[in-house]
Amino acid sequence: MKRQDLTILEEAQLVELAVSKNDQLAFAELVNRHQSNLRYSLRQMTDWNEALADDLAQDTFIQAFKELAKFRQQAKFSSWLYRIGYNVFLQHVRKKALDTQSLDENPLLSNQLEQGPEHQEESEVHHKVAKLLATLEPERRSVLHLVLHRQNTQQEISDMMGIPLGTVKTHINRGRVVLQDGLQEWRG
Amino acid sequence: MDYKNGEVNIMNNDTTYNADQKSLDSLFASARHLQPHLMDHSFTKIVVNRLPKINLVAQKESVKKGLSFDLVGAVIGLLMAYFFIDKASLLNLFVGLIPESLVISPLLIVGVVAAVGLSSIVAWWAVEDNALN
Repeated sequence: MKRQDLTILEEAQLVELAVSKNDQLAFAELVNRHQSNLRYSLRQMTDWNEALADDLAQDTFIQAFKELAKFRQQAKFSSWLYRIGYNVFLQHVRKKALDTQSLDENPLLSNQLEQGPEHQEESEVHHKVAKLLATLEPERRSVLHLVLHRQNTQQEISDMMGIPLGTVKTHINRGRVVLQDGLQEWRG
Repeated sequence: MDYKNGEVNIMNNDTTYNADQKSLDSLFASARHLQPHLMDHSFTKIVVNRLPKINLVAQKESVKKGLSFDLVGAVIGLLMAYFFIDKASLLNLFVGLIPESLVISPLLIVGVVAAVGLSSIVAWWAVEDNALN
């Protein structure tokens, strides 16, 4: 099947093609559809470390490919992918402390800020959110990102991350307090 | 932006809390609305080049086979248990474990309360410790 034909297919069909026909182009189409959201989420989780976030996103897609045969299409592909992404991120955190870069040290981010006033404002918001989230421990950070940015329900987060609903609620309540304090400090 | 303006005339702590919640939500709402579509550039190509050479068709079959083996194993296990285990003696063993009388003394109550309290503290500590790591 040609690449152009794949763009009109639904995700379930793409997964079926990738698994039953070993079609790597179908999987490439899935990567193409989800790369932006996943890379953005991982940037938010890594204090906007673009290189690290992209590496983790690549590892996530590779892990997803390895486990694609086990994917039962009861859940959304994006939720399943996010669960793998979260585990990849957590594995990285456990292996070593995050290599966070400051705004000045990150050339990609500095370049973005030179793109003009509109983009400057946009980058500032994303960077600010990432900095705020970085004050939370990894699991809580993921929960707060999912609830505040992705607007997932508490039950969805619990299913996605494989943690009890009560833990999700605790993370949200305590995480909100920390983020509010951080926001107040910025205001001075 | 909403979150930058910060509400100034706040009279009590509850209002401050609500105002903070609103500004936190509006900060994330701004980020959500301004979320860029990250250009693919060569991202997909790099991922596809890194994909391992595995046969997903065969893997799917082995997942199915694995499930059927599990099912067959469970059925065989149940049949063996049914035919080879002496059910009467097993039942007697369980019945024998039930005490014939139970005396609830103050010491027993203290012991039970202490055990429940201790396990609650251990459970709480385990959850908190896990949340921090």
